[in-house]
Amino acid sequence: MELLNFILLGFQSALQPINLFYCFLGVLLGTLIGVLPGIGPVATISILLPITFKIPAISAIIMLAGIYYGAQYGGSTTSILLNIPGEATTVITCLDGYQMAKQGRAGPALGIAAIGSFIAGTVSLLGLTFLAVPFSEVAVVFGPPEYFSLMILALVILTYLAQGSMLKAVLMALLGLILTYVGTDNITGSQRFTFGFVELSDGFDLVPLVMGLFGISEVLLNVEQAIGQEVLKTRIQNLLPTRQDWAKAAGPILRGTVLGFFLGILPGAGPVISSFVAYTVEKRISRYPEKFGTGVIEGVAAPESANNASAQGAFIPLLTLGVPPNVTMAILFGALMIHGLAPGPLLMKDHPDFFWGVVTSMYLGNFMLVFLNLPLIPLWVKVLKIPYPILFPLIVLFCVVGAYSLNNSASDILVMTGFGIAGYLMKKLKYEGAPLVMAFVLGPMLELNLRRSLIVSDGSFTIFFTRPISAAILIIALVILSLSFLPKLRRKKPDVEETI
Amino acid sequence: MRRAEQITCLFWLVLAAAVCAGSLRLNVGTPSEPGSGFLPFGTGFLLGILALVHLAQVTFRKDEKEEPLLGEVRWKRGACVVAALLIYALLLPRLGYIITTFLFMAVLFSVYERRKWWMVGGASLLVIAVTYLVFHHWLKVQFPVGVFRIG
Repeated sequence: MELLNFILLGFQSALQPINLFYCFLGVLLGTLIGVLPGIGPVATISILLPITFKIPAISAIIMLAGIYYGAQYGGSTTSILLNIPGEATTVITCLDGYQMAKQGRAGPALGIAAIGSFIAGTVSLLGLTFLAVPFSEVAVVFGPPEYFSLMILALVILTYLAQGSMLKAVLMALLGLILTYVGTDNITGSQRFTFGFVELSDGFDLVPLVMGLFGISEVLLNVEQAIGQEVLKTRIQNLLPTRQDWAKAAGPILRGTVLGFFLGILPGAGPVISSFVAYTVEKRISRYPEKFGTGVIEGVAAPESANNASAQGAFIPLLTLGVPPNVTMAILFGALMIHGLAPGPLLMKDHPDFFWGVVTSMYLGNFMLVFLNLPLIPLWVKVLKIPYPILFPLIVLFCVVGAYSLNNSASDILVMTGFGIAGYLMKKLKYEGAPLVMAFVLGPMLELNLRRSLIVSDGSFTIFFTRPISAAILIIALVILSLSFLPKLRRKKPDVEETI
Repeated sequence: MRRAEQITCLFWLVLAAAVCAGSLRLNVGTPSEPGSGFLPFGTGFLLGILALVHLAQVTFRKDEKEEPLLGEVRWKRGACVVAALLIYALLLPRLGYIITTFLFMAVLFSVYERRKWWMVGGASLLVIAVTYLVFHHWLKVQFPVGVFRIG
């Protein structure tokens, strides 16, 4: 009964005209950037983050969340029509989606992607609605050692799942931690690593850092290439799948949803891994695995459902435990903090209208997306024809204005440019940005909880192993770390673009 | 790539040494009373160890043939964007949003190919008008007016 009241409270908040507007804007922008290759939700959320400071916190988070899950819908359009994934999460959709389009079945492929995404997103939201309260109740008993262990686990999983070298991912996570030390020490109030610069006394801001690492660096990489893309010349008709398509796709949608949801909750996994796992599972259990890659509808339905379920499931650890499971959630974590809201078990208790408003807005956003996507596919195809030489100056200008508006200071543009160059070099040298940003966001809490734990235990590190929840979490982290020494296992990971 | 990776490892080592040295100055403390430099020292130490491991891996790796870091890419375009960003950051407080952004957009629109001046100018003016309306009037972002007091 209490849950019903919460849901009603949430809808009351989400249905406010201003929140409906920002929800619509978020999902529209999300679909747009999902469609456009070369700019993803991380870059977009980073770019728009400073703008959201001018609007109410709930509207801001509703919009940013909409961008995130909206991008999962939009990404499939380019995968199916261009064989170019709009997002890393839709890489696997190219395999069968593009083949279906080549066979004149672009309509059903786009249709099942959108409908599967809607079903998965909605089911996943139901999971979020029902699991949020129990998760928060568990999290209330967490003390500093448990939080410290949980953050270590999140970082370990993220680095374990990193593309390529795990060592490089750990180095990036350590760099992220080091960047958090710059500024004022939260406990003693002393200045650390500021080298006498007053501008550094508050440390680095998240916004120029992520804008540089993901926005500017992406532009620098893209302008190096001659971008020419051809939209498949096929008539998009019969978007609604046939009865036969439904019969084939129902199971994959269901399995993709369940897999995606649970992988979304897991720190570090996220929509990319979910889509690959869902595709692999479908291929394994299929009666005709050899046909995968030739244009079977199951190869579109499963990953598209999984990435959406995962995107919605990822909100559980963020909103209830205060631990972001992936880099986009880490930026949303930063956004919440900037708006004066601490993600975690108390968020639901102290700000129920905010918490449930955001959750219920996602139901509305999912409805908007399915109605937005299918009729607007011809428009998205036209958007794809915007040449990159016209598009990239606008992206750069958005980054510049966003960085400047943070503190009305041009030095933030310099910081962003610096991180842009660093991000560019990192990508050239095959270092990932995700562990850095995760560590940067978790760093202050990690340090605070470590120091508090040590003070409580009078300097004994055994506190992390004598408390059962903390010990269990650390044992899981250790098991995952030890798995990394089994090269064969790591080699089996899907070789995908960075989890963004 | 091997040379570039070795240089990167050296960067990690220098960073690790700097962080450790800085932490020692800050007061590392003891486990029962951790100071400001406690975790930074641990992080720097671990970074140094892992950088050494990585350096050894890269140096003794057999396989690979030497690939230049930038290869056959059109790096001049990227350099142009970076230069434009740096100059923009320096000129923005002096010339104000409208003039600096006009010049900035004109450069960026010309990065790929030379276009007709009126097209570049028109597009830049349009972008300024839209962004000024959205950011300044709607979102109340305070743009600098510069020495000419425009904006």
